[in-house]
Amino acid sequence: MTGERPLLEVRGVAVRFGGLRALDDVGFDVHAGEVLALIGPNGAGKSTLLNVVSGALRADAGEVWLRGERIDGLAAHRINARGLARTFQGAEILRRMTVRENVMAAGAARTGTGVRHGLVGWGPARRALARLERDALEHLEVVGLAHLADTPAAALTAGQQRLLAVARALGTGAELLIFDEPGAGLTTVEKNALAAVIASLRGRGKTVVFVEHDLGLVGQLAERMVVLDHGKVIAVGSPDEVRADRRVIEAYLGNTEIAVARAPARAGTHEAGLLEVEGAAVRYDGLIALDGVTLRVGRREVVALVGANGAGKSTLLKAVAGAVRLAGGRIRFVGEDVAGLAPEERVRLGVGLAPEGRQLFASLTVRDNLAVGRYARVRAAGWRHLVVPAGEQAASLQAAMAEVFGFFPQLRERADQLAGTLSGGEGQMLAIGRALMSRPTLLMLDEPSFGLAPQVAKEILEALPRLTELGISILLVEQNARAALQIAARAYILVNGRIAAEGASAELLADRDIVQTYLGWEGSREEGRGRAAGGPRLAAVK
Amino acid sequence: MVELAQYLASGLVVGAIYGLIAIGFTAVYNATGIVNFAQGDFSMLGALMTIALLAAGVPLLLAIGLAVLAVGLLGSVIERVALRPVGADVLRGIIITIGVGVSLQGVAVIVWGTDAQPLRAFSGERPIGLAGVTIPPQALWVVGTAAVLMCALYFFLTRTYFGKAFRACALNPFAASLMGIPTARMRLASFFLSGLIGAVAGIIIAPIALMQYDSGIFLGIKGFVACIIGGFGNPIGAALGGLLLGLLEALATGYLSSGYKNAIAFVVLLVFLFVRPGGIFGELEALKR
Amino acid sequence: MIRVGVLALVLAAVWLSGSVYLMNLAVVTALFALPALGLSLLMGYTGQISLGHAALVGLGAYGTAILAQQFGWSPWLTMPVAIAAVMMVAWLIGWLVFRLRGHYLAMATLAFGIIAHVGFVELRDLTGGQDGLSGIPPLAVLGVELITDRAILPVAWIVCVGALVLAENLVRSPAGLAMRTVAESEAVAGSIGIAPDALKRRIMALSGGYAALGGALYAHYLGYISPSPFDVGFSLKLLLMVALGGFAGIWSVLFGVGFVVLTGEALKPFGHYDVVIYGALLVIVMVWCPRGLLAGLELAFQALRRRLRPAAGGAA
Repeated sequence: MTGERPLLEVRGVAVRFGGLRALDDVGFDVHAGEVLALIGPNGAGKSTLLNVVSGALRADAGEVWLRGERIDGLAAHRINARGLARTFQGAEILRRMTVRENVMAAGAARTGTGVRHGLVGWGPARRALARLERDALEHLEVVGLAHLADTPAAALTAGQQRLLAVARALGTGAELLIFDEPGAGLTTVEKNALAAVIASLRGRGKTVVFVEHDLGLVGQLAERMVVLDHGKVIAVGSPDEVRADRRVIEAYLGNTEIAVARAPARAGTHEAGLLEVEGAAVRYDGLIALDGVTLRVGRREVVALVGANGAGKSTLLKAVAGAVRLAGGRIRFVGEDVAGLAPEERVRLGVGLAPEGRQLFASLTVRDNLAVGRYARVRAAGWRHLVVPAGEQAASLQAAMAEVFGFFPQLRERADQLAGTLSGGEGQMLAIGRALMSRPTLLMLDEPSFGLAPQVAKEILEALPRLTELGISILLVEQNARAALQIAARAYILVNGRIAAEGASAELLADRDIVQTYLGWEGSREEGRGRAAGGPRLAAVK
Repeated sequence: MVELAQYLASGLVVGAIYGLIAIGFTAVYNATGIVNFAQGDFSMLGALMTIALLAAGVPLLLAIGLAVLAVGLLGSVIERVALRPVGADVLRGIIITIGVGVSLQGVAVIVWGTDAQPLRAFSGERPIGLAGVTIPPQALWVVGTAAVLMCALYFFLTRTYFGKAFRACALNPFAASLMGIPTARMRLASFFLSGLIGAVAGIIIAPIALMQYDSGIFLGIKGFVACIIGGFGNPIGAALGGLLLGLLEALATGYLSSGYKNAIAFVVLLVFLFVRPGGIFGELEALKR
Repeated sequence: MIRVGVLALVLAAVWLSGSVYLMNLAVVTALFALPALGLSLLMGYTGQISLGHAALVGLGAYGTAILAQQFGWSPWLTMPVAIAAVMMVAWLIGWLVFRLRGHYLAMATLAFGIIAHVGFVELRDLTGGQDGLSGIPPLAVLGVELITDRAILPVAWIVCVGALVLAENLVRSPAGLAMRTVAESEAVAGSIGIAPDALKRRIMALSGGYAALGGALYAHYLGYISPSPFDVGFSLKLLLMVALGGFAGIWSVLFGVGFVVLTGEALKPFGHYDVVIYGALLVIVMVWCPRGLLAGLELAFQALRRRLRPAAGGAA
């Protein structure tokens, strides 16, 4: 902040993946000694940017300068030697080593001893090793893991692994530390420990940049923020400035205006729901994805589940579909507990999922994609139909397909085209159509508007409420919260694996505080304080 | 000139075999991501089993059918027992399939010894003259069977419901499981299929090539090379790759020395690995989103 | 240190026993251990795969034999020269091959192995073809020619133990940490300043050196070499030795080598059963004991004890 040159300068960085512009003219500075947060909604390009800066990816255009020296285009290990260290999403600790060895390895490249010295053993290699051991212990003390120095790294909890990754970054001696989603999936306690460590790094003369989805954590730590959306920098400034910035809010919540009449929220929760989720908890490798979620979807209802990236929305849908297992809680469909039912059995009960990212069968035709969508029912009718569906099965298959074509006429025109050649919008229609083929009573959609142009997304979202006329309920997961709230009768807001608010979407939309709740700015410090509009706030269940 | 045509003809015959073995590789690779280093040994076992059944008095067609089925089942057993526990670990998967191949070769030695086993040609030994080129009648069986098998496979994968589900599973196991497609059973099926195809390839070439316990190694390697040439995800490319390799080998044997025959496959392999790892036709099924 | 002591005692016992059979086994074990060690450094510690290591052994053997025969140099000169040459070849192979991954890498190394083998057979003028080379001069120490098993046993094992010690030093050094990092994740290695490609090539060269040393000693010990021992089967045997010992384990490699040599002897009267056993062992070890037979047995033993203990607790 003085007149001197920034520690890191990023200028005009652009990256293309095929036709997609992942980064577009990105530029910002990092000043020595500051703590900078890099935030943005899903797909904004944060990881890509991190990869470019750390040398894991080559940009198509632009420059990156570290302490006045150009580093873009250099290999990752050379950039590290110049004083930039990064951690990875999920920590990526070295599981076959002890905690201490993990940190020692970080200094190995700088000892000036190589294979030849190593073979000889005594002399430079031994001295270097002793030095590495001492330094490693120091770094471990900074992060509070010194007492675990000799435990195998694989035995650490998720929170400890993140701290080990920080110690490892320190072990490289780098001045600029870049952390990639260090807090993802951690408990509140773990996050606070992590935040304390990161805050202390400043006092040691380090500069910290971190990418994070948990905006509460970001608010605690960051002095400045850079906001990315769709590969562009849309805001730079202090936390207060960014929080108030309309563009940032729109980027996270969406600003699509939908012109569809919405069914009113049904009052009362007494009637038996189609889907009832109670206290669902899911863990991936010790990381918390869902932490006691309760929600319900009634018949012929459109319900939205919104929240920022990493909140756990996809995980919930996968749990209902049977693709991930619950660590706690219960899921009931049409009154029946679905625990232990394989995905194909749930499909036969009437659950359908159009997954995140469409997941089409790219080299099958549109028609074949749809046909395969009905596999569970065809198989249930008997082996014979697996060769060529016949009789009643063939008729139902054709009828279902006709219905899908009726709903999405564009697909009929492209019926014999390969699915991989469809445009984004058509692909999304196919994904939805494929899920409809098994005649579900509950259709779940995971981020249907992702990667689509606003107009196309609008069309698709507007088509959804019509499905309720066919007797189908919809559980819609969307990052574009504003759009989702306009077509759904009721909505739930998921933050960090927990329901932060729920109620009739009309009321949620009208509530001005909803932005704060949605983004979770208040975050982990304000445990137990929620802004709910028209619905009870759920207490955390551990 | 006649010489050249002769080399080309014999190259096509051998190439058809390599193509079949290559298809066996792709069947497994597409469904599981594993390259089955024991693929060639499936061919060897199919041939040797048929010979043994014939010696026991079983009529030819039945012997072939039984042997093919047995090897197919063996493939499924291998998947279930040896490979499923390993999951996605490529290194362990490779070594396991190597170990399986070695074991199969060892069993072959114990049962049949180390001598080459002759199999009588299906329709006699008299060479046929075709456009100035003489070929053994078995060659027609080879090319014909290979063509029929490839067509049957094509039909299966594109026209039957199960075949489409099979491809779906290979393309995107997660999405396939959401449709209710049993991915684990599809893996089993893919190994069954590759065992089937491999056995057929071994049986039809046996009268010409004389199978013995270690024939599988080189067959497998050549099939793998064919896959590299044609692209791993692509059965058609694999078949064409096999033909190309067969032709190159025949030309090398004719114009250089037969000792270099095996080296050709490897030189081609290395060239492709370094220049064009995706193969000539690339990965057909790599249009992933 | 204890391990060296025990080993010395065992070897002394073998040497004093006067049994040619046992001494031969001991020499063979030492000579196999060298390429196995090299392979262990490459596969176990740096995480790469090589299915063609037999070729490097063969190159070392042929290299020293050809130099001795063509130029009449003493083996003490031809061996280092041959080994250095093979190390360069190995480095080059690494440069070509390590950009590949997974089964492509495995196949490429297999290809190199087979190409080399074909070369041994076909380049008759140089290598003597299938008949091989004979009349290779033996090693001589202080004027004494080492022709008998008894004579070569100490030399072979001194070299072997020396190689073991060096390898262990390497694994325990900062470079060893770098190797283990590269084995687990090249991305992480890059992020902490380690250049994975350069390291892989260096270890490949070292591994080739170990293999060539084993091959060279073998040539001067036997006095005669042919292409047949340096085929794919031997590469796979080396693989098995390393797998049994646990991919990452220096002294446990000796266990793997010893196991394979001894079972080979035990199974000799049964003809070709050894191949089946080897294949089955490879599968079993990979599926259930990825860290080696000893480690796997230990785990199984502990699991068994845990299951028995509740019963013991109740009885107590």
